[in-house]
Amino acid sequence: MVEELREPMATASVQRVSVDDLPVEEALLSKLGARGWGRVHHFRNLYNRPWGEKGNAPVSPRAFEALSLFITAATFPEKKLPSVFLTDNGGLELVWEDAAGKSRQVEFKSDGIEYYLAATEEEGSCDLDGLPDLVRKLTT
Amino acid sequence: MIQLPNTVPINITPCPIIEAIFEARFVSSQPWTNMPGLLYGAIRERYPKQVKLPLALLPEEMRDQSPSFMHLPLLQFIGENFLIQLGPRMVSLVTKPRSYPGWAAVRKELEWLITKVKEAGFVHESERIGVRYIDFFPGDVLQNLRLSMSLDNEPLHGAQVEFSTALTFGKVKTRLHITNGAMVQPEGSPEPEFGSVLDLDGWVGPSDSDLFGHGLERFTEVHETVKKLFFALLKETYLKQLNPTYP
Repeated sequence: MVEELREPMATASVQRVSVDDLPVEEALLSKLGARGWGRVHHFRNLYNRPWGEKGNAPVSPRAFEALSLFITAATFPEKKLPSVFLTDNGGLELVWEDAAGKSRQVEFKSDGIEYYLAATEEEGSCDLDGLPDLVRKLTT
Repeated sequence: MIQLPNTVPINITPCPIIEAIFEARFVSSQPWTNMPGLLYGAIRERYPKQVKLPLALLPEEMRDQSPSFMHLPLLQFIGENFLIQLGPRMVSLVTKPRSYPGWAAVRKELEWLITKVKEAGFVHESERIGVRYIDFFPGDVLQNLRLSMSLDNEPLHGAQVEFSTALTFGKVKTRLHITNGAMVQPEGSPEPEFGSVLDLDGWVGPSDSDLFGHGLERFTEVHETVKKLFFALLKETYLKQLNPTYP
């Protein structure tokens, strides 16, 4: 498993996308913008062990997978790029404004997904199987 | 998309498997410095010898800067029939070079290893369960595969070729890498052998990778898919030359 060590295309200006990561990378970049895409990479690569003074949980792989699936399927309002945050329990939170400027939040955790809509003060949760319905509910 | 066969041989002769790797990736709540001791305490009866791999000599700060180092092993524990590899984000069971003991033996050892990794207590959450088989064939195997590469509509015969692609079968993702420019060192011979390598890596992602819940079942499913893909790639005429034994 050392092929990564002798990657011929690894130069300062070329970065090859990991096998099967291309659709996710494209979705993250196009829907979060360069800054959001960079933050996700930063969290994923540098917070993969206990972090902070309290030894907060590393980024949850299941949370990252759910975030990726959500972003790939979602359509966000124009000029309202979502922001991404890392939570103390290793979850990833996505926050954006709806067309009326009201906040929408989804937290992807290792054991499920929680959401909040400020416009109706509705909150709820689901698992990965409920993700397609959640995308329809929050991003249409 | 290539169709996977329903029935595949139990074995072929000579066995082309150079190495097979059964890997679990994870995030840990423990710092790397604690992990080798925790695992060694659980496996030392079967794996008494420990070897540092070259990457372990790089400073941790340097390794942390490159995502490509993230899932590579730093240590190897050597047992009688297998090796166990450990890195900050992975643990794997590896067959000894050109000594594949068969799936039944691998499954049995995996079952034992999963118990020991659980006992070691450093896995916070599983990320991926993967199975990788590296097969070697003398000469150029490309003409014997149901896969062809051409340049300006002319088959690439005689040229050195490397090919990689990603294929998905249900929940199992695979990476297929083929080269006809490989060299292996046969056991007991000072001269290397030239030929082709089929490198098949299959895995399931975080939501299907609960190592301590259904890890062994997932390893079995991914193994089945990788095995079927391997046989799906071989032309029927070539498979017959490999003396297949069917169940």
